This record gives sequence, C-alpha cells and structure tokens, in this order.
Amino acid sequence: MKRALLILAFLIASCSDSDDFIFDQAEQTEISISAMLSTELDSINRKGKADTIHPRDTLTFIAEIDPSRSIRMQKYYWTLDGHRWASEFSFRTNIAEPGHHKIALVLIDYFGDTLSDTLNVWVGNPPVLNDSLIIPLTGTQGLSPDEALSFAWNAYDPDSIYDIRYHFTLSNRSNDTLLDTTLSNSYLVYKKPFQPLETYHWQVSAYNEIGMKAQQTIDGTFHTKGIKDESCIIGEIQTSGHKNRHSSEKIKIQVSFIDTSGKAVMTDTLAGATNGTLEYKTNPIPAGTYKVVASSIDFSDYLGDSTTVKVLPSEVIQAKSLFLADMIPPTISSVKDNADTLDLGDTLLFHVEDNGDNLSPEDISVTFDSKSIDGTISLKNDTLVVPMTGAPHSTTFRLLTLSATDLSGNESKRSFYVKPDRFWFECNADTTIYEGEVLRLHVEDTNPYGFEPDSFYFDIFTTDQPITIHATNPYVSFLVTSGAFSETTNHVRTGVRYTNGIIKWREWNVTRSFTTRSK
Amino acid sequence: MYHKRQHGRTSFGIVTAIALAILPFLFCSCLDIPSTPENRREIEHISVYVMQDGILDSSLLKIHPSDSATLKVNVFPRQYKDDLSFEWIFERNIVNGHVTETLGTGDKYVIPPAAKEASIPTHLIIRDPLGSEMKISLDIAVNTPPHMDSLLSPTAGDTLYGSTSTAFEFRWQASDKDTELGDKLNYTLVIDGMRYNLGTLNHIRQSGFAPGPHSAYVIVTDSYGDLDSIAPQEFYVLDTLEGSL
Repeated sequence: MKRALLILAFLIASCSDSDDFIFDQAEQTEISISAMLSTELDSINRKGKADTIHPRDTLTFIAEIDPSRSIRMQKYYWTLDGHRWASEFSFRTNIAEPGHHKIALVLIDYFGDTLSDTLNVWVGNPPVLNDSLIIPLTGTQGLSPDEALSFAWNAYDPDSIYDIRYHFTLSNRSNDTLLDTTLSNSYLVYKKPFQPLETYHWQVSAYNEIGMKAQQTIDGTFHTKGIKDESCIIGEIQTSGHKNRHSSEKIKIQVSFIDTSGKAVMTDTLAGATNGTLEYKTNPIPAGTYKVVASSIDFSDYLGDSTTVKVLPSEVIQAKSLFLADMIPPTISSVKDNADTLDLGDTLLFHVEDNGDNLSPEDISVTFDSKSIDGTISLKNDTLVVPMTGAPHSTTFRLLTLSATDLSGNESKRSFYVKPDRFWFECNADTTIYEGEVLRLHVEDTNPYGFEPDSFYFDIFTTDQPITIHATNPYVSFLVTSGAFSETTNHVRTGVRYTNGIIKWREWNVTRSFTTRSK
Repeated sequence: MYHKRQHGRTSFGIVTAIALAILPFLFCSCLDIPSTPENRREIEHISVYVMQDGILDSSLLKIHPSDSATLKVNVFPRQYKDDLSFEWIFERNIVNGHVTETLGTGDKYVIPPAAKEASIPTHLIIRDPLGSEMKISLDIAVNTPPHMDSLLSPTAGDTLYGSTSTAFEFRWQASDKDTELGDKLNYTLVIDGMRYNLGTLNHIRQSGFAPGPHSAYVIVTDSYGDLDSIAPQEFYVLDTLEGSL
C-alpha cells in the first residue's frame, strides 16, 4: 500500500508544471502609471502635469500605464480633490469651480497594490480692469511738474479668490521709461518731478495670482503745464511711403507754426524715413490759434498738408496728424529721343524718374514679348538698363512694357515697340545723295521660310505704281541718278511679292543734297 | 455500564437546557439597554456673537468702545444650552506663563462702556454636566469707526475754471482714533456717481468735467469695515479758457 502511494505521488509530481508557479523576480514586470493632461485637441503633442485654465476650457486627462493598459488590475479611477470623479483611462471635461484642484489617477493592481499619480490644475477667470475709470483721465492737461501725482484705477477678480497684481509703467514722449514696477494696490503716488510742457504715458496691466492677464489694459496720457502759462503744440507727420518697404532715403520736412497775424512764430525742419512718422514739438509758445503747415523740402512729389490748432494756456495740445502724400507716379521715357519705337540692341536704355523716394529695380517690372525680364534689369541714377542680348530674333515688331511703382504706390506704365532684327529681304538703308551722284538700288530676298520671290518693287516716286521687276533670281539691283529724288527728304519703299501672294515692304529715306559732295 | 452512561448524558442535557433558558433572562435583567443612537443628537456647534446698539455681529466680534456690548453664546441644538455652564475669562500672557481671571459666568457677558482691556474676555470655557470642558478663544475687536471730516477741495459751492482737460484737485480729510493702533483708512471718491477706489490716497487730480454742476463725496472705510461719508458736495465748472482766445 505504501509503495503504491509513493509511486502515485511520484507520478503526480512528474506530471505537474508546478515550477511555473514558483515566484521568479526576474520574470516580473514593474508597473508604473502616469497621469497627464492637455489643453490641446491634439493631446499627443502637448501634455503636462499642471496647467492653468479658464472654467470653460476643456481638458483631456490621459492615463499612461506601463507596460500597457491591458495588464491585470482590480480597478482604476480618477479623483478630483479627493472625491471619486471618473473611471475612464482618458476623457475630456472641464472644471468649472475656480481655485486649485488636485486630480489623481488611482490604480489598484491584481495584487491589491495601489499606484497613483497627481495633477494640479488652477482654474480661474482673468481679472477685470476698468480701463475708463482712471485717475488721471487720459488727456489731462496742466498738471504741475513739481507736485506728486496720484494714479488710481479699478479692477476686481470675478472669482473673488485671487489677489490681483498690477504692472505699472510710466514713460515720457520719447519712450524713456521713468517707472516700471509691479504693485499689489490699485493706486500709486509718483513723487519725482516731471518736465514742464511734456507728455507722459502710463500703462497698467492686471494679473491674478495664477498669471492670468486681464483683457483690458489702461493706456493713459497726461501733460504737464509750462511756466507762466506758456503752451506747446505736439503732433506727428506721416509720409505715404510703403510701410513694408525699408527706405534708405531721408525726407526733409519743414513745419511752420503761423499765428493769426500770419507770422511764423516757429519753423522747424524734420528728417526721417519716407515711409514713417515724424514727430514735432514746438518750443513754449503763447496760448492762441496756430496754423501748422508741413511740406517736403527736397521731394516735390510729396504734397504738403496743414491743420489749425487752438492751444489754451499751460496746455500741451496734440494737433491732428498731418499727411504728406506722394501722389505723382514716376515718369518713363526712352533715352533716345523719347521714341516709342526702338531698334533692338544689346541693351535698351530708359529714364525712370520719380521726385519722391529713390526707386530700386524691385519697383520696376519689364515684359518683352509677354515675358518678364525683371531679373536682368539694373537701375543707375534714374537710368534703367534693359539687356536684350538673349532676346530671340524676330521678323516682326515686339512689345516692350515698363511698369514703375514708387514707394507711395503710384504706378506708371509705358509700352515701346521694338523693331524686327531679322527681315524677309535686305535693301537700301537711309542714305544721302549729292548732286550728280548715282545710287544703286538693290534688293536681296533672305526670307527664312523658303518662299519664292515673284516680283521686286521700288516705290521711289511715291506714285501709285512702283517700279516692278520680275524676280528671276533672289538679287536685283540697278542705278538711279540724283535727279530722280526731287525732295529734300524722299521716302522710299522697297518690297518683295512672293509667289504665295505675300507682299513685304521696308521703308527708308533718301536725303537729297542739292550741292555736290565736298572733297 | 452502558445504562449509566446513558443516564448521565440525559441529566447533562436537562441542565444545559435550563441554563440556556435562564441565561437570556439574566442578561436582560442586568443590562441597561441604551436608546438607539439615531435618537440622540450631539451638540453641533457653539458660537459667540456680540450685540451692540441692537446690531448683531457674529463674524468679527467687533465692538466700538463708547457703548456697552453684550457677548452671547449660541448653542445648536439649543435645548442643550441649559445643560452647559459658561465661564468668561481674561487671560494675559506673562513671562513665565499666563494669568487667568474670571470675568463672569452664564451664557451672556456685558462689556461695560469704555471698557479696559482686562474687562474684555479673551476666552470662553464651556463645561458639560460630566465635567468635560472646551475652551474657545475670543478675539474681540474694539474699533472706533472712522470719521469723514470734510472734502477740503473742492468745497460745496466752489466754481472751478477750466476746460474738460483741466486737472482739478480733490483733497479730503478723515480721522480715526485707531490709526495709531494700525487701523488703515481707505477712501472711495464718488464723482458724479462714478466710484473711484483710491486706497489710502487722500489727494488726486482729475479732469473730464464739462461746464456745469458736478458733485463729489468721499467714503472712508477702516480696516474693520466701519465706514463714514459726507453728503455730496456740489461744485460748478466754468469754461472761461475757451473764450479767452
């Protein structure tokens, strides 16, 4: 009996895989969890452990489990401030209650061990800054430069839980910062002296404790008074140059301040970019009514502007902005006699002039035979050089169009005809014939298409019937005496009629000198 | 032998049955079974409030020194109040500990007018019938309300000359007996119905006044929330500068 039991035990032991159930630390996988949150719809890219949000913002909470979410576990859940909140691995929601919240991901694994990870979320609305209820009111005049000045403004936290901090800056008209500070109170006393007849800017931004900035900002301006009731006019002059273009040119502007008697109490000259804003400020002047006149000294294309200003005692008055506009477009002409029809050469030269800012090749576009050749042009002292070396030969007239736009956006355009550089036939060119001389008229067919000449025409006498010679070979010539040309300038046409009916003409001139050629 | 054993087993069974029958009776007669917990309520809270001039204050325990004030105990549920005893004490810290003095007993204590520090309780000791006690700290604020003295500029009926951009001076004066004890005064300037919270400022310059009548007054508030104000002061703005040019 005992032997049988031993054998049975041996058999059971040999058949069992009990070794597989023995704990082996090397085979264990460590589990880790991480809670993440994201405010982006695409939660993959921007995840974090903490964030500051508005109550209406949607957050995505993500449970990251290593090695995977499919491990054996008893349960998992999320808590919000210690209370059971959600039971999904990942979910989207918002937290409406303002304040600091702790969100925890809790996972209890198969063995009952608890793992957790915590996120921090601050919920709040930005503070509200009243940008109209401010002291001093923007535009306040006549503040004493020697007295302390009180600033005050109103703001509140809509959640009533966060303190508000204020970023306060004070600067003068030249943007020199006099004060840049952070305050916990919504008021400030500035005790340092100001400059008389000066304009100052002050700005306030409000932030709550969690860094949310108020949508509103205070941007105030005030002016200090002068000595003995003197006043001052400030203002700006805008020029019409293109704002997106950098210009190296300086424009000189003269500004005059003319009183009611017509006397210029002050004249100033400003210099600045042609596409910017120039600021001016008068010396202390008596209170009164003044006409401010601005004009360009060196750029005649810029039209002047003026405004009338009434300034009270001890006031710094901001005049209406003046605008010097370049309303005149550039002019375009060919260098050779301002002709519209041009001979095709290696380069063509044009004058492109503007009495405003200097033009650059970027301001000019050139098309030849409907193709842009902007990249090859150059501009030197108002002379535009258009290289034509790469232009294909042609037996017809072609169109060359130039367009120039100045920095104020004024555009001018002009087209020129470029003569053919290849002809269907060769013949005489312009010439002069003296008394007693003879001229050989000739024509030689060179048409590139292989057409057969039928007849050659010489229209010397401007009659309806030109001299016609039947074409037996491609070249014909004969002599005429000077007496055949009765006018000082004689227009001559040479033509070829081809067997397919096409007739081509070329015109040239014979200048008749009624004297003999000097030897 | 077999029979005896059988008899003995029968006797043991009878005794056991009797004992089992008697045992519950004995238990029931010896034990005083308490009432069910649901029927017994605990004291949920005890608070102290102050009554002065018919005004109840349970948050700041703030009194002003000129009139008498009454401290009262509020117990909830209130039927337990009669079971409790109360002792109002004044406790002062000294170098080696503290000195305690009983000022009164009962669920109310009257602080006399112009009370000295030692006659204002600092703690309340509450005892139940079993001798358990609880000590509540009292932080009674003796605060004199601020007084808005006057609007120094502009005063009532003043005529101010200037344009809408002219800065006019507003200056006022208020007083508070407790400022030496750290009480701070905050001001709200109300101009034509618009309220400017100015903190501790007592002087500003403001513009934006169209020609015609305007009004202004100031509300002063101290650190304890007591406030005072003056009646709106009417002043006039006259734009003579425009006509001078």
